[in-house]
Amino acid sequence: MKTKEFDKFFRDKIDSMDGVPKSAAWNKAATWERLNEAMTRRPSGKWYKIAAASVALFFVKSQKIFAAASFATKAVVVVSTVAVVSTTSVVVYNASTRNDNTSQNIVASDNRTNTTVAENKIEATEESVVETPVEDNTFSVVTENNSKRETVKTPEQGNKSTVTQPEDKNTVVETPVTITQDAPADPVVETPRSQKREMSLEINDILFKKNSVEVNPKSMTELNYILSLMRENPDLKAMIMGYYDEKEKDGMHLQSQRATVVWKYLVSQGIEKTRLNFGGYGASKKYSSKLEEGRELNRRVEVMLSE
Amino acid sequence: MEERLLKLFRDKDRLVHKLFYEHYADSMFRLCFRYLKNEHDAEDVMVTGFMKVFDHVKTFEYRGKGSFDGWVKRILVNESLMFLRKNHNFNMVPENYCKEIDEDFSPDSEISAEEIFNLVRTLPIGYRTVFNLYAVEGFTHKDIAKKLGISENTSKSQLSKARNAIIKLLEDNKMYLERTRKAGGE
Repeated sequence: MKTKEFDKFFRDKIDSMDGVPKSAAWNKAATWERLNEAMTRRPSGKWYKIAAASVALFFVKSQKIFAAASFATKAVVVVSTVAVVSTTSVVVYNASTRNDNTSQNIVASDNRTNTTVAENKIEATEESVVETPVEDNTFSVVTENNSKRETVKTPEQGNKSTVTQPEDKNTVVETPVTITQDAPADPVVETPRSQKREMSLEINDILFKKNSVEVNPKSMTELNYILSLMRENPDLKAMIMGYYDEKEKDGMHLQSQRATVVWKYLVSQGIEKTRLNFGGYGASKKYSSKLEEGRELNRRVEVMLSE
Repeated sequence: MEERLLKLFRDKDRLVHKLFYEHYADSMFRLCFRYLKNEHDAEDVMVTGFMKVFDHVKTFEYRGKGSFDGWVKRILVNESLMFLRKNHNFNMVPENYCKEIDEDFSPDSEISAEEIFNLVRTLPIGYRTVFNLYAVEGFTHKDIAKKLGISENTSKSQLSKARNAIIKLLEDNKMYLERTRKAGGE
């Protein structure tokens, strides 16, 4: 007998069966009662809604957990010293702002003169905030040994919404700092001054003209500022990231070309090639591209400096 | 009036469900019982499976004779597999074991359907599931691999082993052995 016939033999035999197998102790009527009860007891529709809602809730929760986990791993990788300088404002973000814990604002200032000054300024303000908590809520200041990350991001020029209060000549910005669940309950965390702090340095984006690789004249000051920073701090390395706005034709080409333009400029001004890294990062937008203003800000090259 | 109308709707549904159940219960119980270990599991799967049928019957499109039967069957098969996956894991070792059965062998055609049914039920879970899906339900190895989350080769080797296990069972069982030999000798 061949294999196919063998299978067919079994199929036919099983298909030809009728009724309930004698070996099975099964009560047909009882099963019907169960089924009938299950059908009538169930409120129509509602059951599914509850299920869908709980599934959605689970997804939200799991994503939160995932995000927190991924940030925790990133924090280990982050390069040591990072400070953020911009023409207008500085926002200090605690990377572990993922939990539902309370957040509170602290004030940071920035200074354009040089990196160390900016860093000191931030430290100083943080220190002052640590000593004088604004609210009763607890918060932590991020340090290296806490294995948390602190990134400092610059909003676009003229983004005044974050500015809360002027302090001397420096611009003052809102700084949300939150604690994670595993953070100590102690409201004040001491910051060891001797240690280098993990921060990321990001300069205002360099903007470009529409459909071209020409740098917007507004951004030349920004570019030169990066250059001066890199000259003063030989340890600094730069990551150059090119973007394009959604309405541009041939954006994939433009994004890398823009990064290359910045790269070429820095190299021509005497920055070592080994300190520069670049790539195209697509149409990921920072601002809505409905208006031309938003699109202008999306046609950009971001430069991230790290030590 | 509202309550009476609602009651009528429910009674009508109940009648339809009852008719459906009377028609399909036996065959579907047999189907579930082939996959699952005991009557209780089969009953559980039947209840959830039939509820699914009642819920989704409005979306079913009739495409000729037998299509509804096939649809109901498929739901019950999937429901059974879901139950199996929940309670056992098909941690079959992927392997490349594939052997045609011995052509000299042929089971006696006088074996009753019930005996065959019970024989298949005595197979280990992996063999039984793949044999049921491939030989009886007529799925392809590709479908089976997808359904069980195993590779196609694993499915093939499981089937091949299942066939040999059946032959061994037929031979081990004295009754079949004699008949088989007689059938082979004739």
